[in-house]
Amino acid sequence: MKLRSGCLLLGLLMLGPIAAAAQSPEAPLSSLFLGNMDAFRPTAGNWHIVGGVAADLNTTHEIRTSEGTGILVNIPSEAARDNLFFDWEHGDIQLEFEFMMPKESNSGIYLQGRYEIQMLDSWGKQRPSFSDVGGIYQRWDSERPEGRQGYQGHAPRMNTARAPGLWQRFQIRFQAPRFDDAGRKTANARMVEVKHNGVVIHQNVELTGPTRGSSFSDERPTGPLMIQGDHGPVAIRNIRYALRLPAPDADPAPPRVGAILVEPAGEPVLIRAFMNHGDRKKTHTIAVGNSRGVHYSMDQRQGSLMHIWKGGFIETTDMWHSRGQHQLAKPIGSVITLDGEPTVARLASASAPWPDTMGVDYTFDGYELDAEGHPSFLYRLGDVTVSDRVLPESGGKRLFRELTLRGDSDLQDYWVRVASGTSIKTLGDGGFGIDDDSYHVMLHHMGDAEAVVRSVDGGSDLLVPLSFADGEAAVRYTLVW
Amino acid sequence: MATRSRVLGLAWLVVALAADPIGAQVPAAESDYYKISTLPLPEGVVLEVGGMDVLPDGQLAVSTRRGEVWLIKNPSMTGGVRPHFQRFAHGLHEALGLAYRDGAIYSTQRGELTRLLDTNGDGRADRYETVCSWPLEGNYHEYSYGPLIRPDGTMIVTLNLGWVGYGASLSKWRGWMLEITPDGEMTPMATGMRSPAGFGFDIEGEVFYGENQGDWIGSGYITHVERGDFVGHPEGLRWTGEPGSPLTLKQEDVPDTGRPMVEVAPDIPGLKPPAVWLPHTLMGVSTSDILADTTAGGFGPFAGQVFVGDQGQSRVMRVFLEKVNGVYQGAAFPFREGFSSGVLRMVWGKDSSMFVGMTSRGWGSTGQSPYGLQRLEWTGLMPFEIKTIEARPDGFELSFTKPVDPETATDLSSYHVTGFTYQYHSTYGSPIINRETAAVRGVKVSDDGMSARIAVDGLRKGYIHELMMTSLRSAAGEPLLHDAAYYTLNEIPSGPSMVFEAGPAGAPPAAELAPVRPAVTQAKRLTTMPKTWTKGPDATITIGTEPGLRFDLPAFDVQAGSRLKLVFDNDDDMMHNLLVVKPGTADRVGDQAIALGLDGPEQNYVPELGEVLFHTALLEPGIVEAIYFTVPLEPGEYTYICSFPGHAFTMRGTMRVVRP
Ligand SMILES: [Cu+2]
Repeated sequence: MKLRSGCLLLGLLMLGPIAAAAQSPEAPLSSLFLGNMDAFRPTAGNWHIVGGVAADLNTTHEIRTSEGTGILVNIPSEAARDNLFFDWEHGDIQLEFEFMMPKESNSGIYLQGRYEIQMLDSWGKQRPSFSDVGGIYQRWDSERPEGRQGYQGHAPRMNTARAPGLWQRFQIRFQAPRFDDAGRKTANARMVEVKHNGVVIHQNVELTGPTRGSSFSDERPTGPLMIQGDHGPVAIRNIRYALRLPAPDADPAPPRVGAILVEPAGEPVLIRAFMNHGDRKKTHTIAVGNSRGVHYSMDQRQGSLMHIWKGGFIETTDMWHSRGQHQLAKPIGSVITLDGEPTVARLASASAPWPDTMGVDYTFDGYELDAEGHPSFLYRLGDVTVSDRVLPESGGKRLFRELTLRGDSDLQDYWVRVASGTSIKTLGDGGFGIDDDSYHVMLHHMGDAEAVVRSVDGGSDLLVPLSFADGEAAVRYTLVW
Repeated sequence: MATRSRVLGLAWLVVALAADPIGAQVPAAESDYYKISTLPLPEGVVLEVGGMDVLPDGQLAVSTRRGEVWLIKNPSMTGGVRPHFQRFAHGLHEALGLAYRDGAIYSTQRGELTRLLDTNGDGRADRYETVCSWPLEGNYHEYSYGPLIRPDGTMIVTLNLGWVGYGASLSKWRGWMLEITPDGEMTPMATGMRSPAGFGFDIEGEVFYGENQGDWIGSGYITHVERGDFVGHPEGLRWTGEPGSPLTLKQEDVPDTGRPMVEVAPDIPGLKPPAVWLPHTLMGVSTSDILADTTAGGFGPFAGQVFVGDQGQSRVMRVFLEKVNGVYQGAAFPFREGFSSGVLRMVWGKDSSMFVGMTSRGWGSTGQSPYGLQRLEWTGLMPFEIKTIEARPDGFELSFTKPVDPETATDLSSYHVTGFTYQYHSTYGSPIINRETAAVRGVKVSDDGMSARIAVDGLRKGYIHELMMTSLRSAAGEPLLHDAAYYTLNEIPSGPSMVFEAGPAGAPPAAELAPVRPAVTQAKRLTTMPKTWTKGPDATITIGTEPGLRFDLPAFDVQAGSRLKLVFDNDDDMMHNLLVVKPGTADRVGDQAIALGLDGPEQNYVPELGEVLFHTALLEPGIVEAIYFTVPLEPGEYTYICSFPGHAFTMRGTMRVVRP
């Protein structure tokens, strides 16, 4: 119970629901130059520098590129499928990068060329194993009995994989093995922490030796980073690193409180709570989780989606343990933060700015649960009544949102905003890439209504105009990430 | 009803067999008259009770902090059968109130009043309708309670202040009582609330709310609330300029003088003082629910009175209310303690038993369970209690549940009356102030022995009057089950005074009146560093708090004979102190602190015992105090405790004195 009067401040400073607990200061990271291939050892030609990449949900092992610099891409062939070695060696390292997996592709990052964290298209997999993205690949001993040759793999704590064609992120803290003067190993290598898409998936995992596919059979104080190139295409960008780890806390207090986690087992689970949205604490929110592992949260004051995420559902320790200082519910999985602004609005003109909050003509009426327990949120904006529901789709790979709006047939100037962001890219067939492929939206067929992408105040909106000719309008779309 | 008569029958049998009523040999206990039983919870159900109501068919509906609503069938466990728990709803935001009406369950969440409907008849809510919603700032202390439903369907809701080192109304209508129609039309009704967790109707249908000690609130109390009232905490007044406010009073109209509320009230239009004070630690420490006894005798001899819960001390108190000169006032009595967790909610079962819903949720409570559900039944035996106390022009009239023994009842020394009050100020809590003994001048006992009228000198309007009657006996020789009562004398009725009986029991001479106590000095509390410590202390230890009545430092080592600066940082949101006591004496010191009674606050709840070595003052929230002392030479495990009543059991740590 420290800083009672300062707790509000602390709550506001926490950077969104995926922010980790405070750690010792980060070492500053250097960016690896990706204007050319100078940072790497030569390969058979399957690795290149490009300026843009794209992959889609349907085409296996296909990655499309465009000229330029800044992105490292591997397009292997029968003739050229080399692994990529960095041109320098490392011991302890902090390493971050973004990567994009085409459908069903496979790669991996080998610390010191020896210890692999898997990169795989594991999108939507319900129970990830060591061989899924983020897994620490197993070791291999062919001398062992059949079926037991692989051992000591570590599955990620949860599957936080994004869809093929979206950028994902690793943040790795690796501690090299230690050796005495005689060259005998005195401490095993260790994955101090691995985050995937912002979520901690490993902490303090000890590595007793090189994992399967290591380029070296021995262990050494240093070795080169290696990216696997022989299993499929992959794109990588924004590589940043520091060749040391932040100093550990000299005298850490042992944790005293176990986490209170809410995980839906059967029907959907609703939690109404305070939640952070970006740097703002929202007070009237509803998080909805389901056993498919794909979740969302809603701001009932704006009739808006705030977050969508996969992985675990909600941690409520901060609400339910003892008095609960911040009273925040925190998504456990990897979160896409949406704008949290009204979904439905009446605009004076097609170029009028989108309102960031609902006005006095907005009323939230509650929700009803369907037979399976999925809520439909009910609200009113002026003369329009809205029923708004979000359902898991494709076995938990994505979310489907359906807004059903009712109003008099002469109502005009009402719009639904499907997405907003710094950039919105048209992908064709009703698909849109939001914020440089952070996530995709697929608009379902809407009759005559034409979706509009517009730029306002440096941002982009994806809008659908509403027609109440039949007394009812509907907007349906799928969120893919 | 079958259960009721069976219990009664059994009780009569017991009385008939025992030549001497209970209590003649063995001291009577509350449990002889009111029995607590526990409803076993299904494994995994975290029933931190927030709200409760009984449905027309006898099912008990319970809402919880974690946002669930449970329907409990067979809550009285008739036939020794387990109660059955069915989850009716989930996902509510801290549902701290619940009420049933016309087929719907209403519950107040932090940010709204909600109607829960089961439209398909499967015993689970499928519509969660927002009746009325209000803003929140996001502070943990912004609790919302209710509804209490009036006969016409209007719902009453209260909104707790936030806590930012003081009670703060951070969003509109925080600190208010609101009325909401079933259509969702909201009207602000009254303000001045700080922590209005409990409110209910008295037997006449008037609204009373319970308040918790804090800033501006010297001690807990219950207050009669009518439209337009200002009941004490000024924070909610920041919204009186808003449309719909029935008050125009402003925060700056409330002077922060530290004088008693009774002295300040005439200058603050609309300020309504408490109907009945519940003196802090003597009656309770955190007022919760209010429940009028509508059982018409099914629950015992107190029909028409109100029961008031207390979370921190896991007890239920009893209040007798009367109206004098148009103002509510009355007496508070202890009633039943020993519940398993913090008492938050009470409702009547259909068999006139009281269901008690509990949670301690980080504030700690005398009952050590974090939550629970218990049932309180009258055993059918009659306790010897003061049933009522009514004000008279020159004293009080007491009625009893059993005839009194004429000898002790006519002895003036059986009655001790002490007046006192609290400061009304922005500081957290208050000491007991202006404490004076009021001399008992005469007594007249009714012919049937069921009542006694006492004449008292020095009644003070607006003051709390402690009536202590330890030596009074029933005709059967029993002492009172509870020998203390606290009467809040807002008004003194007019009418004839009683005529004193002459004789040996006449008025004592004035010289025998208790003197005003000198200011307390406490030598074991040194808050400035001794000048002889030229090199400063050898060591500095800082101790803070954790929620749930705990220090944040469970133990520390210190060298025998060294000079220690011990800093106690009360970073909690309630009052605490810190005492260093001799090894093995923590329990005794804690008990003696409780026994200080009215002397407790001004002595910082530090009993005058050799076992107490060093101590801080009683610190209000946010206050830091350093004390300086030389560590004992004798090595050993010394204990430090908070001796605030009810805290010592969990709020303790170990100072290990080691040889240098
Ligand atoms: Cu304490």
